[in-house]
Amino acid sequence: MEKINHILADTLKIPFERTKENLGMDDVDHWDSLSHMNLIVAIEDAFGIELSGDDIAEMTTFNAIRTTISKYI
Amino acid sequence: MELRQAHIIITGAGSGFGKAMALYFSSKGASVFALDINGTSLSKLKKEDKTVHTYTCDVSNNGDVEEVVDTLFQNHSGINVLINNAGIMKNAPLVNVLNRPDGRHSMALWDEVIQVNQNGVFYMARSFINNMIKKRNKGVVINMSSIAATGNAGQTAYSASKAAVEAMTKVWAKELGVFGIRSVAIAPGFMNTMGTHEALEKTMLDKWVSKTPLNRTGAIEEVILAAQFAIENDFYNGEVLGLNGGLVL
Repeated sequence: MEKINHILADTLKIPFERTKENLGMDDVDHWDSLSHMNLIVAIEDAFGIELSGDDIAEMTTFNAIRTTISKYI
Repeated sequence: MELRQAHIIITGAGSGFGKAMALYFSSKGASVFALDINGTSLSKLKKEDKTVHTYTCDVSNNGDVEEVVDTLFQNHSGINVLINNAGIMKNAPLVNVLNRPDGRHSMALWDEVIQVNQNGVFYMARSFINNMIKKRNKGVVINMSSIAATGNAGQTAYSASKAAVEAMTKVWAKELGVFGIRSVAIAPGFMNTMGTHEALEKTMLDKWVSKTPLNRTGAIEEVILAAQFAIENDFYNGEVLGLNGGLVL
């Protein structure tokens, strides 16, 4: 989880402490469709996985991201 | 060309840059013909300066453009400047991965932006230059471009339309110099206008400001000064005048 939180903080430019909340796209200023792709690529590189299109579309909250990644690792 | 001798058609003159330019150039002794799709905005402009001539015109409608421009040249002598200022900004990624099952860029949004920003400039210049050559008037076409013409993420249509505007500017400079007609573009960066604040969220605008070496947005007055330079300097031609505080996308 620590690894995911670092990715969220770095990619979405939020304080690390806030990654422990279940924030969604509406809660994070820098999280839009473009930064979402940067986030996806960062996650895939960090975990050595390849996410499906459906996964990418559903990963719109921190909890959803964690749940999706857990399916792959 | 001195401003007092300028007879200027300005599109999108009901608000923003266009309105500010109309009022400024009129105050400096130029004759101003203000065009806008919004008649209410033109009425407000007319109340602020009764000497400004106002015409309702949708630049994305070629029939509308030809009728208004031909009427202007029939009824007024000496028209010698066109400022193609009317434009819209709509943003979307080429493919929005969050929109399932089809996240492809809207065709309607693409068509709308190209129709106003690119075709509108083409329609206006085509009609304006045709009349200028017939009357043997010398002058200048000033096209409003944008820093986004070099390509800005999330702005496929807007960036493409502004790149086209810059290309047309350079073509016309080469074609029309023989008639004594210049063609220049002004490419503002992030400016402190209502349009900027409507199109960009505050956090996004703050991000761009922080990347701008001068650490601020530009002022409308600074765009007016750029347009004034383009009108007054008779050797300035075929160039894009960047106005961005040093920001590079």
